[in-house]
Amino acid sequence: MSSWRESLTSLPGAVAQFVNDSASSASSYLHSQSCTSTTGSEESAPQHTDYKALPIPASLVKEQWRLIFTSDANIQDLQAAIAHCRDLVLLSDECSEERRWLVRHLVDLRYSLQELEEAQSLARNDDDVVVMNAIKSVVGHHFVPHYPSTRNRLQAAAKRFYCDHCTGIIWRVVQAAYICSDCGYLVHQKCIDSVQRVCAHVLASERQYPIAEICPEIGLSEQRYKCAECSTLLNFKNSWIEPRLCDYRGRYYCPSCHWNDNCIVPARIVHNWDFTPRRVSRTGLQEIQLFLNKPLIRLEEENPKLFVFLEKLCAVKKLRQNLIHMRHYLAACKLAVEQKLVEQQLAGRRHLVQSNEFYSLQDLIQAESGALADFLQSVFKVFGAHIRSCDMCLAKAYICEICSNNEVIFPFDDGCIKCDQCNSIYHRVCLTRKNMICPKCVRIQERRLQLDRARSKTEDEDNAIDSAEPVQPTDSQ
Amino acid sequence: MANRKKSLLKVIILGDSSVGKTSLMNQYVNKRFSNQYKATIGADFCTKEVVVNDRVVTMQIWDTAGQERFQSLGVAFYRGADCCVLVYDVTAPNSFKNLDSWRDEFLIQASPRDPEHFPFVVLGNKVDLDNRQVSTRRAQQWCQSKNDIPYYETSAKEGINVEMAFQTIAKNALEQETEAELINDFPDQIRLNSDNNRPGNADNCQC
Repeated sequence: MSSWRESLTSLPGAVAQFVNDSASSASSYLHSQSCTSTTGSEESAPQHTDYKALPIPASLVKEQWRLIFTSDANIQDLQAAIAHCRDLVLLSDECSEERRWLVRHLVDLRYSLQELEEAQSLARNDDDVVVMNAIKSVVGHHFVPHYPSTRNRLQAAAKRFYCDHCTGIIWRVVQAAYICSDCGYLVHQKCIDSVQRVCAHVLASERQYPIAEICPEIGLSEQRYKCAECSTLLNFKNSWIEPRLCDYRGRYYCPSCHWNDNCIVPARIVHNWDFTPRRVSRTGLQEIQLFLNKPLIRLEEENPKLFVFLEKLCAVKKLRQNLIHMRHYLAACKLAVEQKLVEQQLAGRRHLVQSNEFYSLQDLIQAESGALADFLQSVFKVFGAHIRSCDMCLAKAYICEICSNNEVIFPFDDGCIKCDQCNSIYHRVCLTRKNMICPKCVRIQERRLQLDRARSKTEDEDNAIDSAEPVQPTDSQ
Repeated sequence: MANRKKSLLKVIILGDSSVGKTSLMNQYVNKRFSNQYKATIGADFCTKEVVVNDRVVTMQIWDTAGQERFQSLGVAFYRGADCCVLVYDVTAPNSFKNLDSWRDEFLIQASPRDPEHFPFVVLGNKVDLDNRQVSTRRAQQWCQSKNDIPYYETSAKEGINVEMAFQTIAKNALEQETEAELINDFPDQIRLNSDNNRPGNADNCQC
């Protein structure tokens, strides 16, 4: 914090160029502001109600007049603000509150600028057109107009949509609605400017990993009896605004931020292999949905015992290991690359054959139902069929050097074993007869010893030669 | 007898990474050279028709990966090789020292009938470069100690000696062929290795 203050006091010189008209007045303003106490600047913060979901860090309050613009800002203002914001990002400490806020803000500003530019170019082309396709950016959401699918009009009409902000029904015929293209937040057009919930996509990308603790509850007193999202006062006496616990976040929410949605909770799956749906808040639900297909969970690291208890997980692990070996063959085979065999089989789930550690939530759900093992088994069959019929892949097979017969073996064959040190493949029976001592590793070891011995020997000789004749003979013919 | 001889010669090029195995093959087969280095993954082969001893034979030249991380695949293609080319870089002494291990590994994996007399050829590549580190004498000494392996100093970039080296390779490979044929003609030959397909007792161990 103190370093931040220092950097700010040294700022005026660096930022003066971004102030078009009155550089000198700006710097004097900054100086006077940096002298005022922190409490004073904190008091002025709540004025900007647009950003109360993302409270501006106290140390940045004196900068906000340059960073935050109302809807009447023009392109030049926004460009200046973006440049200024970018500079502040570079000056801020890594992983600090300030930087986090600034980066989010920078993204917002860029979107606003784009919005404005698009609107202007459209206005130039046709003055009467109402800009409907422009992305509207509010607290991290990127709202686009929402139209229910027209494929089945009856079903679409029967389905009710609720506004995530005011929880009221969106009456399609008379009310326009927007949906966030990132997190699926649905909102009335009239409510769009008062949205408070930060986009789940922003939170998910900042968190990078689903919450790992099971329902990390802190209690209502810690929350000061307020909804964790909209700060509505909560108590157990009033049944209208009963506190509802989000099993994912571990916080209490008011009924308009927590709709009693049922959803699986990542932490419960990872720690307890518990797939029972629990009640989660709207923001929790949107976040979990965003994490659903992302391969982020190192299951074996988090919960190694699971692989002992659950046979289906063992089967999945073994299949994945085999597929990783197969991928090496397919990646080195021109024919398979031409046929795009890997993409064609795995499409968006390449992580399954890229490493053995990462699982997505979807993978875990499917592992429990057995669908994942079936899917991997089918891929295994297709890959195996190629490798065993392709001459180039067969050429890169192994031959067990212990029994040395001509049968080719592959790392993914049953009854074969791989040496972890030198990657050689043997029949399991053969290596067992050799007491699990890899002959190639033995050779490598011997050779290394020999080289070391030879090196020390030649060094001695070299020293002797050096003393005898100082110039080494050069044979370049 | 003559038509029993196969007209396909299988040649394997081995050596450390970036000694110029792919470049040598490209220079010989396509007469092309590129300064850009691109590590070979796994293995690949090119074919070229050559005339040896008034016979037209197809040479199948297998280019291999020298880098350890690309050796994660097997080397079943060593089997049935007719000649093995060991390449080192005259500016990199380590690549010369490793010839020993390349040779030993090849003999074990390929398990030829007569390992002592299996034809090898050693190529010291990159002689066009100035900073030479391995002397001709040292290389020749090593080759002599290994049953008089033919030795050539080449430059894939300038095309020096490449044609001649591969002619020798083809010739030696063909000789190996005919010798093998001769051995095969003995009716009562007992083959110790190849007939025994059971992994259980194929080992040399008597117990």
